[in-house]
Amino acid sequence: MTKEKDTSARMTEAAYAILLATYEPLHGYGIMQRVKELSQEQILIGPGTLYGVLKKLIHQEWMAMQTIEGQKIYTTTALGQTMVAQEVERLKLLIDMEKGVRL
Amino acid sequence: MKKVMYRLFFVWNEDEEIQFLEEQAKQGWLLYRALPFQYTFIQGEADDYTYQFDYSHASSKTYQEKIQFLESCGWTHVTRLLGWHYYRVKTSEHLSKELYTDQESFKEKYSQLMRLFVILGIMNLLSFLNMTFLIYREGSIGVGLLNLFASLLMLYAFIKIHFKIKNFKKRIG
Repeated sequence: MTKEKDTSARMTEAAYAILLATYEPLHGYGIMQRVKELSQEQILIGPGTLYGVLKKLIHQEWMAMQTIEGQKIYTTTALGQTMVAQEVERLKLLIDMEKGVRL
Repeated sequence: MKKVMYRLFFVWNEDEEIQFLEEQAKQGWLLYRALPFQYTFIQGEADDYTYQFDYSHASSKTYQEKIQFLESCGWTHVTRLLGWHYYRVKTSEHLSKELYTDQESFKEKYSQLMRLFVILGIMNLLSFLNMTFLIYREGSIGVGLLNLFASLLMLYAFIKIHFKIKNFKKRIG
């Protein structure tokens, strides 16, 4: 009796935003700023949430981390970009559904 | 200058505790050290600060990595009391007033604490049953009732936090 809970397939809003932010290498604080900017200030990510999500993404190998001059720099991997593209397809489908109803 | 204040901090009063610390900061008293029932403040510049708690049983060494990360995001790790970690940032300088901004991570913050409530709750309940029905001699009832009280307290804390997590969306707004 195991409850189906596939967290790796379903991307959270925070994971999606963070993966997009690090298409260009960024440090932690930079990611928070970039997400704010990309989302037109609609999505704010707290540092505690960011820490946990980054850890998970690195574990999934969707994100890579390197230490440059004592600063941790994060970059979305090719695999991570593929996962974002898949998520975009899924979201597009949802949006197209609505268009179908309106026409 | 230093100021010492005595306080009782209940887990379900976390938000009120934050408010208290922020009011102190407004008057220029910045938290410096937390001991059970006792806060020490030092006098600094009066300003608007935002306080937040994190919770972790992890040893200081394991938790250090997280402190470094949050500090690189502009937050100061002020002190630690048992599993509670006190963080502070100038309100004008933060990008988010909460450490945890989605329900998943907010829930994760309390996961260790919830497990602790369950374990302590069950242990106290078993001890209550044992003291009251198995041992049954003078004095054991008193201890048993204390155990019962403790287990009810754990249940209360568990329920309070459970609803806090459930109502997360309202909190973030």
